[in-house]
Amino acid sequence: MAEGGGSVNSLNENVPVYEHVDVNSKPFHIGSFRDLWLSVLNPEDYSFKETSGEIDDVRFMQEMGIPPETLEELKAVCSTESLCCHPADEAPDPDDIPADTQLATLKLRKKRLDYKKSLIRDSVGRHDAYANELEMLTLGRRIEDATDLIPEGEIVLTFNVIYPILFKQFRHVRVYQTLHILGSQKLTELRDAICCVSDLQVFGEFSNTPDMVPQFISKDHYKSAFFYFEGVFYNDMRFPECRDITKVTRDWAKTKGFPEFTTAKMEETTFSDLRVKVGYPYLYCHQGDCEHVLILTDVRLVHKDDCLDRKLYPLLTHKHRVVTRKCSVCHLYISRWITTKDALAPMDPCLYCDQCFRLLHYDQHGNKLGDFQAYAYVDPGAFN
Amino acid sequence: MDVCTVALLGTGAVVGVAAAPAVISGLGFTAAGIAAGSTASWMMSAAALANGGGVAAGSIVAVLQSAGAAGLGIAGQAAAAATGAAVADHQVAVQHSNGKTAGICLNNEEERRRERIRTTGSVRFEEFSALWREMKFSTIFYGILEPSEKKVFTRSALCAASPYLLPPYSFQIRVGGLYLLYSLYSTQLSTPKERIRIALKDWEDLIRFQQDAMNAQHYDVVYILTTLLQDKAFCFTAMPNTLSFQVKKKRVDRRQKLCETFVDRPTRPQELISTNLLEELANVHEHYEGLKNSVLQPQSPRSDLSLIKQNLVPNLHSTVLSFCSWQQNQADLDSQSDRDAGEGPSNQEESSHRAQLLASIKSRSYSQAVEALRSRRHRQVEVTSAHRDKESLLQASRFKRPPSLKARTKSRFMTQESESSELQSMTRLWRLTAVEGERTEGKKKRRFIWKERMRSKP
Repeated sequence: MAEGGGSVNSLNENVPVYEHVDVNSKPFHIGSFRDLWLSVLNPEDYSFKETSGEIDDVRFMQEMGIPPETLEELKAVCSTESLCCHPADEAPDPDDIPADTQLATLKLRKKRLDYKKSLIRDSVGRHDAYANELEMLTLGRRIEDATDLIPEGEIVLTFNVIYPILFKQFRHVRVYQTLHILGSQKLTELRDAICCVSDLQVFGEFSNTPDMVPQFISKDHYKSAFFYFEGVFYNDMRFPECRDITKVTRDWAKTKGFPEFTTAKMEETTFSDLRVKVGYPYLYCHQGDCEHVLILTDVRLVHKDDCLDRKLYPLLTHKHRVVTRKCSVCHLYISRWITTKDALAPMDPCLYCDQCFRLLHYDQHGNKLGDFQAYAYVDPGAFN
Repeated sequence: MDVCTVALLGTGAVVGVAAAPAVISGLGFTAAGIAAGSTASWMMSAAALANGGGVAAGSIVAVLQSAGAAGLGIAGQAAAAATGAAVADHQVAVQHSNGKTAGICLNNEEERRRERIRTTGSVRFEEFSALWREMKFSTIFYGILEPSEKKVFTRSALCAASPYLLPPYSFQIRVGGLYLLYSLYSTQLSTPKERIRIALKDWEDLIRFQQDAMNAQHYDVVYILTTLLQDKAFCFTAMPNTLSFQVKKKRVDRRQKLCETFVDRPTRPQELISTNLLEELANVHEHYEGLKNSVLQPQSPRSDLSLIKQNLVPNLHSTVLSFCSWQQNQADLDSQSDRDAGEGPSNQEESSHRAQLLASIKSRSYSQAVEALRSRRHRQVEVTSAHRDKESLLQASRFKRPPSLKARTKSRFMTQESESSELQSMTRLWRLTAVEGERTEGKKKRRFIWKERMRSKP
C-alpha cells in the first residue's frame, strides 16, 4: 500500500476538511485534490478493470507471509456466504419483512409499509415513478467509441442546481437539477446543461399578431452569464455579443469595501482549475437577474460502475418534476399563452393553450375580439 | 522560554490531559504545521541543527507536531463525556430522505451489536458472522419496494457504519466497523452496489489501520480490507458525506456523539514519550546547552548562571510513568464499578452502595437548602427537592458506564489537592442536573418528531 505523503496529507491545504462540521468544507483546489488521491492510491484501486483473482492471491500471500492453506481457510471464513441468514435452498423473498424480526429498523419499516397499504390513493406518486427513469438512461450503457471512455482517475463533481429564488412567491428552496460533471470539462458545459425557463422566454406583446410570434428566445438574445466561485466571477464570453455583466456588481462591491473580486473566462476554465468549498452555496446568474444557487455536493474519483461515456456528461441524475399548468379553458393541454386585461378571461392573468386561445380571442378571419394583451408563455414543466 | 520549559510544559499538559491541546497548539504546533516565529519553529531549527540539518522523522518536534495535529484527541472526548454521550440504546435516528420518512434505527442496532462484539472481546470474523446470522442482520435490506428507496437506504446504512472504521474508536471497534461495512456491502440488494465513501483525510488512517492489523497478524482483517479494495467497494471522495449546506436542518449528529466506551483510553502520553524520544530529547538538550554556552562565551563565562534546567529527561520519564500508573489504577476502578453496576453476584453490595449514596445525597441536599434559606426560601427548597428526585431517578436507571474522563480527572485532582468537600459536591450536582436534563429533553424531542412525521404523512 502506498503510504507516501502521510505527513504531507495532514498539512496540505488541498486535503478537504470541514470548515463547519457536516455543513461545508474548506476551499481546496480540485486538480490538486485529484493528484493527492492518485498519489496515495495504487493504480488498480481506481482502475476500471477487474483484477484476476489468482495474481492477487499470490501477492496477498507474499505480503502477509502466509501459506496457501491459511489463505484458503481465510477465504472460507470470510466468504460472503457466511453472512447468509437463511438456508441456501430456501431464499426468502426480499420484498417481505420476516415476521419474527428483532431489528428495530425493520419494525419501523413494517409499520410504514402497513400504513402505506392502508392508504387509498387515486394516483401513483410521480416521484416514485420517475425516480429511476433518468438512471435507466445511463446505466449499463456500453461505450461505442473507445475514445469517449473517461480516463481512469478522473474527477466527478456533483452539482445541485437550485431554483431561482423568488422569496416573495416561493418559499421553498429545492433542488431543481442534479448534474454530474467531469473535472476536465469546461464551466461552459455546465452552463449549457442547466436548463431554465427564463432562457426560453419570448418578449413582446402579440395580441394583434398571434401568428407572427418570433422564434427568437431570450437565450439567443442575451447570452451573457456568469458563475461565481470563491471570489472569482467566471464570465461566459464565447460570443461577440457577450458582455461582462458582473462589472456593476464588482464596482458596487468596491465602493462598499468588499475584498477585490476578480474575473475569469468561463470557456477557458475547467473544473479542475477551480478552488471551491464542498457544500457551499455559489451562484449561477443568467439573463441578467435569473439567479440560481449552485451547491457542489460531492467530489470523487470516477468508479467503474459510473457512466463511463464522456459524451453523456454533464449527466443529469435528478430533475425536479413540476406539475404543468393547464389551459384554463380545456384543462387538457399545457398553456402556451398568457393574457392580461382580458375581458373574456375568468381571472387576470389567465393561461390558455394555443387552440383555445385562438378560438376564444379571434374570429374566423383572425381578427382580434375584445381588448386584451397576450404574451407567449413557457411552462416550467417544459423540461419534464 | 527554553527547550526544557517547553518540554516540561508539555509533560505538565500530558498529565493534565484536557489542557494538552491548548498548550501544544499554543506553542506553535498547530495542525496546520509549525507556526512561523513560534517556539516550535525555534525548536525545529534547533533540532535541525542537532541532526546536521533536516529534521529526522520521529524527532521530538515531529512527534509533538503530530500530537498537535491530532489535538491529542482528548479534549473532544472529555466534552463528549460531559454531555453524557453514552450508548444510544433506544435512540432512533430518523432520516429524512426523498421527501419521505425512512425510519432508520441503524444506530441503535449497530451500537447494540457492537456492544456485544465488545463483550465477546475478539476481532475474529467468524464470531462476527455468527452474531450477524443470529441477529438475521441481512434482513435489514428487506421490505423496501422502491428501487430508489433501496439505494437511499443502503447509502445511509453505509454512511452510518463508516465512522466506526475510523479513529477515535479503538482498534477492536474499528475492526467491528470494517466487518459491518463488508457485510452490509456484500449483502445489499441494490444494483449496482452502493459504495463505501471514504474521504481523502481518512485514507491515511485506514492505511495505518491496515498496517496495524498486518503487524498484529489479524489476517482476516487484512483479507477483508483487500477484498473490499479489489471489489472497488470504496468510493474515493473529498468529504465523508455529500454536503448541501443544510445549516438550518437539525440533524441527529451521530458523528459528534461518540460512544465513550468504544474509544481508546488515551495512550498519547505514553506514545509521545518513548525511549527513543527520551534519547532524542537528551541529545537536543545537550546540544542546546552547548549552544547557549557558546553564545555566552564571548562576554563573561559565568558558570553559576543557570542556563538550562537540569535533569529534564529523568523528570519527564518519571512523570509519564506516574501518569501511566494512575491511569492503570483508574482503569481498575472503572472495571470494578462496571462490575458493580452490572447485575451479578454483587447485587447486595450495589444496593448497600446505593443506599449510602442516597443517604449522602439527601443529607447534602438538605444542608444546601438550609444554607440558601436566607436569600430565597421558596425557590431554593423547590430546587433541592428536584435534585433529590433526579438523583434517585438516576440511581435507579443507572447504566453501565464508567464516569467520564473529565469527571475522573476532576475527582482525582480534587482528592489530590484535598479540596473541601463542598466544591466536590457542587461539581457533581452541576453535572448530574446538566446531563440528566439534556438527555431527557433530547429523547422527548426526537420521539415527538418521529410521531409528528408519521401522522403528517399524506
